[in-house]
Amino acid sequence: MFEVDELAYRSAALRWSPAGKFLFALSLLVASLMATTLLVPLVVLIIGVALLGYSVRFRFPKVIGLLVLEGVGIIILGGLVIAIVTPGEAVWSLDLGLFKLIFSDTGLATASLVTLRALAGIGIMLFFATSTPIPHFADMLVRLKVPKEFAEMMVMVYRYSFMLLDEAGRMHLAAQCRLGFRGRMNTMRTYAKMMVGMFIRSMETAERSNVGMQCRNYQSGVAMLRQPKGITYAWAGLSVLSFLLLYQLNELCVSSGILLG
Amino acid sequence: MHVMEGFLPWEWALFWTLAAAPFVAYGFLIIRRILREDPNQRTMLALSGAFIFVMSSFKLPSVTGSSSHPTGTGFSTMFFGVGVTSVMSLIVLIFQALLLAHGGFTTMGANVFSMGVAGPFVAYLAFKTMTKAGVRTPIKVFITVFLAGMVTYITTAVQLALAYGPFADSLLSFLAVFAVTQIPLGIVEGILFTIFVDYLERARPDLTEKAFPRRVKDEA
Repeated sequence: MFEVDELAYRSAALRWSPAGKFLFALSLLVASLMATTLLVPLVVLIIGVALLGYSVRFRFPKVIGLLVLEGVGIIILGGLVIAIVTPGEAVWSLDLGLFKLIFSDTGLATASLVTLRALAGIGIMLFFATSTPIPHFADMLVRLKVPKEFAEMMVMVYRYSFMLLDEAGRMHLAAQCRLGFRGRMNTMRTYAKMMVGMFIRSMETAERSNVGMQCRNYQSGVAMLRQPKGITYAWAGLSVLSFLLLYQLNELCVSSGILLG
Repeated sequence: MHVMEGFLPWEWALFWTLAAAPFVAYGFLIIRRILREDPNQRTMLALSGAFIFVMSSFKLPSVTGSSSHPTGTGFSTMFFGVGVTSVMSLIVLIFQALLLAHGGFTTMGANVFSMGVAGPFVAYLAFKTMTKAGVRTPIKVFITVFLAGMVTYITTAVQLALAYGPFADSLLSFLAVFAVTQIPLGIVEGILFTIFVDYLERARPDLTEKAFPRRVKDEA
């Protein structure tokens, strides 16, 4: 689960401003959502894949492949439903015996646009995820004037997650060694016992951790060894410019009838 | 299952973000009040959030042959209420977006509304009604957790149906697709948490006392 987090700490784009990256990513995602032609999401997808490649130094690890595959599976299923439910002139049908799937022209156009938008979204999301560790994201939230308690809670949840996951891993291994996952009902009982163990231990850890933090005069807030960069006018300008360019590209495609969704 | 990035048109993405915002703000006010009254609760709340997040990484066997994971919102609703659950859901959804590329930024509002507001709200109402009616703890836990999951997925189907196609047909199609995995998952999650609460009541009754006050009938 935390492979992406490890990738983020090794990313070539780690030192880029988190708020700048977020604004840029958001501008591309919104431009892609507002587009009515296939070309804009396609351009966003290419930008996303290029940025992702740069972020992981063009060495795509297995975890990225797995995440993309999982995402594509969900996207295809969703796209298929959209293609079926959208009304329009029927262009293709598939008889499955019990029921018949009818694909309309409008349905296929909408589904292809949504699928491409979602693929572009995965590219951009993975770029942001593989280049921004959670503490950097929390720091960005503080800079954006989100209440500091929220950012602090986020960082604490993140740090405790590592601890609990480690504990859960050990319990899982111990249960596996004792054939705890043999059969469905046995698996359920083992998981329930693991959860209780984790819950009780997490409460005890919370009590100990609280005392430890008080002893070290913890005053709340998000502390980091190396503070990430803040947003600059260049990032804001780049985000606005890319959004406007993509918007204009969409208008151009609509007026000339190129790759309409 | 969350609405993936790019699946909602921008108008709907904005609408669901605005719809979820007041609930998250309310939840945040509750958390702030808890922290002001007792700053020691900070670690307890954070660890609860971490517990929900880690729990959502457990893969459970599903009837359809695939594997799914619990959302943990039913548990959170029973122990902490709707407000705290909505904030915790937002944090967990940010983690899922940043660590697993699940969900997305523009669909965050829609996902928070379904997982952190609608599901927990209905589950909380059912939980309170059943508590007043004196329903036994295992049945109460099962129904609450099952409802939290089901309402979450029905809301997700409504969100997608509102965005695409004629509402009724579209809703039926999305519900049919989700039902294949989500109904078995809801049942499995319900059973899992029923066993969980049973073990927890036996191991640490002090932790469950607030959510499940013991009655003489239950003791018997």
